[in-house]
Amino acid sequence: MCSVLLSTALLVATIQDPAALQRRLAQVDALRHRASVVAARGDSARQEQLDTIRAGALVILARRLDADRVRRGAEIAWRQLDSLYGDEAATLAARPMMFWFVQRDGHPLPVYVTEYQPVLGDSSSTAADIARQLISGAATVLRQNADTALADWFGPLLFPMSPSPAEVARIYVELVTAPSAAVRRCYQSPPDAASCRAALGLLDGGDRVTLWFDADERRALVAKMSAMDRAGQRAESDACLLGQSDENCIAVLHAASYLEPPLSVEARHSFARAALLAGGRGAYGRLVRGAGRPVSQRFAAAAGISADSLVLRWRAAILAGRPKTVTLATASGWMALGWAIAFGLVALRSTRWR
Amino acid sequence: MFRMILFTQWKWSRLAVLLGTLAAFLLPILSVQHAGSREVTPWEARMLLTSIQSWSVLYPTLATAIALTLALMAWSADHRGRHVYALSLPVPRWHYALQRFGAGAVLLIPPAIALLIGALVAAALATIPHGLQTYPVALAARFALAMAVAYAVFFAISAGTTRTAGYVLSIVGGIIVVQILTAAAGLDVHLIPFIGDRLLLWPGPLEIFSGRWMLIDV
Repeated sequence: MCSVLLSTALLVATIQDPAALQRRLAQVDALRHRASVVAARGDSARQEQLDTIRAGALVILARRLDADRVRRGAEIAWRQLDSLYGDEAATLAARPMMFWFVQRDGHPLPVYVTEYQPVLGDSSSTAADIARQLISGAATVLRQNADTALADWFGPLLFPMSPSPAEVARIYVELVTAPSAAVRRCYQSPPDAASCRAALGLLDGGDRVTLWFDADERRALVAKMSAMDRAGQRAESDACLLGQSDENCIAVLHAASYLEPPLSVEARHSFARAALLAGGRGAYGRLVRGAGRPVSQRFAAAAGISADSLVLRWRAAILAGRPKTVTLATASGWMALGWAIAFGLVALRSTRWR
Repeated sequence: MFRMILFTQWKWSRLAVLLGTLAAFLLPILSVQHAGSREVTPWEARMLLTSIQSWSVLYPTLATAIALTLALMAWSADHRGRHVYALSLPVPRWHYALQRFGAGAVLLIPPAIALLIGALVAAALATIPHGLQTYPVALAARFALAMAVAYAVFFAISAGTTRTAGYVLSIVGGIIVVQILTAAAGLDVHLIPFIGDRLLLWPGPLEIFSGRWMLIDV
């Protein structure tokens, strides 16, 4: 009797052991995944003939009748993914994606579509549209390799994109107008590299509220917060706004659920692309494998140069893309006057009276 | 003689000059109606610049419209009278044409000054966000030069014979036809963009029309 009780107690203890439970859960999860893949294959074999399309490391399953269109899009997508993610894009080979054109008649998606990384497209999509969808799907897969700190810094998915003059001009406007002391110190000449890093949200410690904004800006930020955001901090908000207490402004901002870095996602992504370009094919791999270190140091490791040099190089590129204002260069003014006189002379030499 | 020609051209085109002057004065003032705060987010600053940029196309359009009207008005009476009056004058052709050209050019001054005053008033009235600047003088200078170039072009075309105008139109039409035919044949020929670049980029005659015509900018 005692031995039965003892063995039962041991069995219960073994079942309740967290490590053992984790192992069993992992086994169950693996079995479930294998079962669902097998079921999906069986389901697809019954319903549709699927082709496997390969472009670089991209592996895409698509219906046979859609395969040519998807292949054209995949080739475009791979070139762009490879240019940004480099060697890390090779990991996509282990994560097949399923491309599926959504039907206009509203039929639900077959189950097997959702068992892979699903990429949906409209039936009227061009090759470029399909490429965009595939890039989005691949970027989602690659983002899963990133830790929370990096994913938070990136925000939306990072897409391959060559810097356009319009994008650089928008970021330039941000650098000039962002109501942030860090951004101003970054823009001014000579620039403060640490402020540029802070403005991009690349903090190596310190209080972001005081690093990003001065007292007036903090008060303005609190004033712009909605009443709901300030609900739990009513006394501090009143002291900040009515009593001009900077300590209370800081307290309100510390309590805010999320505070965006002064420079936008567009600026941060532009910086990330510049860093990955500088670092070559292995850059993204080094970036995602540096978990636990400050994001700025990870970018420095990815680019192969110091974080300060990297931000200053990015800043110089943005300043070089300053939009052309209405200001008139002296040479342009004289040239316009010259053309006016030249056309006037043409009028004087008219053949009408000859 | 110049005063008489100036007076007659003023009589013919005064309505256009007055309307152009009024439009030139109001345009910069209307363009800054959304500028209202010094503390704005980058997004709001971008929206303000976008709003101002949406007005920017009207500056070269207005400059061209005023110049075209004055250039056509300068020759309209001569064209109607088949140039009998001009031929009866004891002056050479170039001298007469120069007087007409000069009189029309003088009439470009009121719209140019109106735009300068309007831009200065708008710059004074608008609250400009930190980091942005106003460019009233540069905008007015560019407007005046654009009017001068457009006026000279239209004056030269208008001074020519119908045959000359026909040649100009034929060349323009021919370029368009060639572009359409090469595109239809699948040839990678970009004739119109090539010519457009030569005209609109430095040192082309229409370079003054390019760029951002924005009273408030970075």
